[in-house]
Amino acid sequence: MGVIKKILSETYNFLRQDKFALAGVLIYLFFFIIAVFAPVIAPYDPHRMIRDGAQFMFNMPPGGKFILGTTNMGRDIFSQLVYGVRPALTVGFAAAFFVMVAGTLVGLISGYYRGKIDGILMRITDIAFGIPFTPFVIVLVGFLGPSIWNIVMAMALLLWRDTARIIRSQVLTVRERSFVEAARVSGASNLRILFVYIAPNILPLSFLYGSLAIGWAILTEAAVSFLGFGDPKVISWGYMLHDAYVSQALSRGAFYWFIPPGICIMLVVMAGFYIGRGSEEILHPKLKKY
Amino acid sequence: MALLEVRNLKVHYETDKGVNQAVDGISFDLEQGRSIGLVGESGCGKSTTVKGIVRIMSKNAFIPTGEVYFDGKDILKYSDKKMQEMRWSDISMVPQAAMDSLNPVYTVKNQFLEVMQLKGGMNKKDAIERAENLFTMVGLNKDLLSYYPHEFSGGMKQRAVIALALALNPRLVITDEPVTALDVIVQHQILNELKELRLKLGLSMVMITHDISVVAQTCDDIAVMYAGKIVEKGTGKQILKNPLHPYTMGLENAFPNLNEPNKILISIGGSPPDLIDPPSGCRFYERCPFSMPECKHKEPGLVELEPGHFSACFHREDVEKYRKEAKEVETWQQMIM
Repeated sequence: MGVIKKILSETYNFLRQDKFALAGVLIYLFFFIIAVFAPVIAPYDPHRMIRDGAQFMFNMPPGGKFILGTTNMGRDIFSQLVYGVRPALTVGFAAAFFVMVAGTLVGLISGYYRGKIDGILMRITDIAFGIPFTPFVIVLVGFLGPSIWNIVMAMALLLWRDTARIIRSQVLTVRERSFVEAARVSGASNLRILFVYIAPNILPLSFLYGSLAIGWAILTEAAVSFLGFGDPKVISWGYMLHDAYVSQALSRGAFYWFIPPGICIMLVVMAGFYIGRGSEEILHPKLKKY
Repeated sequence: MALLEVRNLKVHYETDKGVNQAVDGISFDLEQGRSIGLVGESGCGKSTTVKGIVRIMSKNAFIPTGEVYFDGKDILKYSDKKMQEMRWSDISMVPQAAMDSLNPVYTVKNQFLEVMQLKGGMNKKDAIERAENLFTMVGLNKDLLSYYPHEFSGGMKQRAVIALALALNPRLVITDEPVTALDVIVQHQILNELKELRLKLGLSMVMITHDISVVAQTCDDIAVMYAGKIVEKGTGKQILKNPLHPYTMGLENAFPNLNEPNKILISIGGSPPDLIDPPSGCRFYERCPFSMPECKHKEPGLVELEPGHFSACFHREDVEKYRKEAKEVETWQQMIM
């Protein structure tokens, strides 16, 4: 219990000092609450084509019954925006989690064992670096079918590369420290050294990369959906933009359709960046001065 | 029977250029409860010697010959596993970079408990109590146990590491440059505490240092090493008052002395020989101001000139004269020319 209390109080202190990180956390919290209570907040089913009697409510401007108006198929934009939080956060956190775990594991093993294992893992990383990201996602989704989880998988398959490299370089320095040597000569096993002695030392770094990956993942999902490779059954912000684009909302000046999802994407990505920046300041306190 | 007997120990390194004979046949004894200081300049093989004794050498090092008797048993013949069990519980070591030896992400207490519970098999309650006792013993407040290493000063870390080395009641403690990165006042305090602890607990200690004044303060015996060999050994008093080997005389010139505040510090010119292809005669020949032709080809062995006082030099008479000459700057300067 004491440990949890300490972590909480440290987090609180950190957030109190760093206004940007606080803003990031608040933004995430805000969206998280919306995601949980989406059915309560959204006035309509986002998939439903709304009718008034026999009349479909196509292209209604904001106001009245529709806070942000309706799409050209008569769906409520505000409800779509609210439900769009769910895939955004799911993709963001799931992809970031896989990226963090895979990257950290590869980096740890590679940096600790060195030699052949390091060579093989780092060549695989080189290959991952060589594959252009967006085309890879599009091809993978093309093969496996459009689904949110395929997008997450595509990101998990590629984005671990940066984390792995950074973690490996950090492990290379930590493994030479005397406390690791002391553990080794007094009989600690490799796994124990790796996970009990070295891993906690590089964990802040993998959290940093994890928090940056959240933003990346959400942005990528939006991009892929906007290009039309998204999951047609799931209404995400990228899908909304795609929908608005193909039905010429831009030329009709229906800004109420495409600006809100844009702002939401921007806010979430920004929040990830702010938190990342804040945790970077913990890692490199010198940054604070500038 | 001495607690630690090192007999003709050699530790060599395999390198790209050939075999580096870093430690080339050294022998010394350490009685239970006594301490010996290994002194010498950087690269003379002090650290390699103790790493060979506890077998924590780097991968390219190997031991061609030698025996190390600990409590009468040749521990060089022990398996790695058996050796691992001995480390920390029978022989423990305070490493060179003690500052770096504590894991920054765990509290000091955590690290003490880990050693005592996993290696010492104690239960948690006993372990905490022992950790608190150890902390008090090395002059730290026991409340400091729950701190993280980065919250400690250098001297506090050093004390904590010494306490950690004593955690399992070892009989022999090896300290490698234990006070090198500390300021003189803290050095003095820690050396005194180390000495007191040693006397109180009846520990035996091997101390490695390049600073002859450090051993003078803490050790009963001194062995002076040069280029992988012991050139002189004896009690602290013998070595400091009546050095027999020209290298020891030179080494003493190079350190300030409180009793002679106006003493000019004289350094020994030149550098140690290449240990991949060591010279056939005396290894100090090139830098020795008193060298004779025979020194170049014949290697002097360690000879007992006074009871307990050994020296590896062909000048066995007239040492007085050389000692006097060695105090003069000119003697050493002619060597640099």
